[in-house]
Amino acid sequence: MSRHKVLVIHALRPTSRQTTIDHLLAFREHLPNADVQYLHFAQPLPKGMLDQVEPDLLIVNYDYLNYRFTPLWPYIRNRHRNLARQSRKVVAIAQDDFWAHRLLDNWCISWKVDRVLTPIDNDLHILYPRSIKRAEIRTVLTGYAPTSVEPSDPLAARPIDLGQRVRMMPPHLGAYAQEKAHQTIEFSRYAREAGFAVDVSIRVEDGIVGADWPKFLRRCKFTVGMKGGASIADPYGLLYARVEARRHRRFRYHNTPESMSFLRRRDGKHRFSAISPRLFEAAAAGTCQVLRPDDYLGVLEPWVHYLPLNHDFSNVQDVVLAMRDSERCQEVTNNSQKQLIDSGKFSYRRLVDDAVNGLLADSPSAVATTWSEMVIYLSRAAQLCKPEMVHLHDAAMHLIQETLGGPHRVSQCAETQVTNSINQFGYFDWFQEQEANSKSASLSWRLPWTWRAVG
Amino acid sequence: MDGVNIVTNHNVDAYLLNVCSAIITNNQQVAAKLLVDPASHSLPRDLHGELIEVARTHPASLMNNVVRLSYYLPAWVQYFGQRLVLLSPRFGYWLLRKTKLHHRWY
Repeated sequence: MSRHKVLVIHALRPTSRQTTIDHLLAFREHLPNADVQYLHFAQPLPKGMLDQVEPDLLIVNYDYLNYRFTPLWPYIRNRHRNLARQSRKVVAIAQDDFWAHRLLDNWCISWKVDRVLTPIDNDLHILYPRSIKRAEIRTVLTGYAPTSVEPSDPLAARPIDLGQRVRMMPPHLGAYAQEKAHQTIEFSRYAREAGFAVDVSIRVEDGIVGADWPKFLRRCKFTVGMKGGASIADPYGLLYARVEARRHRRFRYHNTPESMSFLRRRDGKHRFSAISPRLFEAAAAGTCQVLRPDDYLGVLEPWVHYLPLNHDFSNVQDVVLAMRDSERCQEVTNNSQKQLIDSGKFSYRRLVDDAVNGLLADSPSAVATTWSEMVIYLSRAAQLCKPEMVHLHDAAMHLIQETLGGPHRVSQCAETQVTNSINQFGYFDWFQEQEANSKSASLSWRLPWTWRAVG
Repeated sequence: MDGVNIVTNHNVDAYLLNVCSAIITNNQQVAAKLLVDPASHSLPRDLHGELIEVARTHPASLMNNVVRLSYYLPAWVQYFGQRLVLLSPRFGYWLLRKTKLHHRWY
């Protein structure tokens, strides 16, 4: 019996968060009756391989769509447009919609997207003025409860009292976007003064990626957070360009929207907010959450499922006092774990249902020869991206890209070492083919080799 | 394709390959991190020398004068300029490599 052909386009990179990886793998896990394949947009492919693939459903993940902020977007967008035209249905999973949303909207029209999944549930006519008339728009979450939860220590046995990593968002997203970082820093100051062991940072270089992040959370008793979002809409990413230009000119630059008049007059006109995946990650790790009081899916109540920290820090002493009561905090943690994880209401199945329901036709289309060829090709790439081989993959791809297109100045020692490793593990033919495929791809010389295959 | 022999159980020398990647891509930040790793003492001398050179001589920023000058232009000129430059493959290839922007992770 033939199965539905589902192709997921993504843009995984070595520093991708575990949430993004879980997000992608959910489609294969929750669609057992479909043939789900993952294609990285920058992966070199033999010429003509995608010409007659004709998937039943094409799912475009948010990490791919986030390349709309870059100058390379026209190339990226056009590379797989024919694939979208062949697909029976196209689903886009968007995030950070408020940033370059007109580019996203135009892309939806160009690729004839049938359904858009977005974490934003308000002001959609501003974000998607064109596609709202044509495509179905559904609200989803940015992250979901992981399928398997590893057992974690009770709070009392954990070495770190307060742990968190937050990125200071750029000012062009408005004051609301930066509040999370401000709240984290301010609260960590109170916690440190109260004698708690704190491991909090907003520096990019301190970020924890991949599987290390859940491990870190399992070592923390408390974490602090709030809803993410923005209070300025930046239709074409031009506000970002202006801010970046100011930052590099270093002329009276402060990293706040209040310091720039063109941001100040736009700030606060909208409030795009979305629940962060950290909510589920912390619940799965059994970490007690200190959150700003808000509507969290309508299921979390202050003092029952989380410790509420007011936006003006007026109740910070109450929160600090509650943090000293281990038994109470353990109970709060257990309640939130029950509500968010054990209830099963927020599993990735929900995302897959939202993406797929009603779009897969009753009878799958016939399996084309090129689809089978593509499946074999992608599985080979995926094997090279397994943890034990991924360093060889990256080093070889860097070498290919650097030497692409003629004269180059690559270190001879490094080149010899990488070539030896390629030969030692029997990948000579494979990488020669990758090099040949890269030469015909317009993106190969424009983009760094950051791609990772999923398999 | 027929010659591809997928081997997965070998313990690839991850550190050595990371060093090679950092040298090939002139990545100062990664090179600096790899240098403080105790495993750097077991590196071949030539690779170790090159790693030190990358960590020392290449600035952390990929900025150069062309990119810096573009920041004095209005945002919309930057927006179209970036795209126009990339329209010409030969010029784009030269410029991206000259500015090392082809290593930039957006």
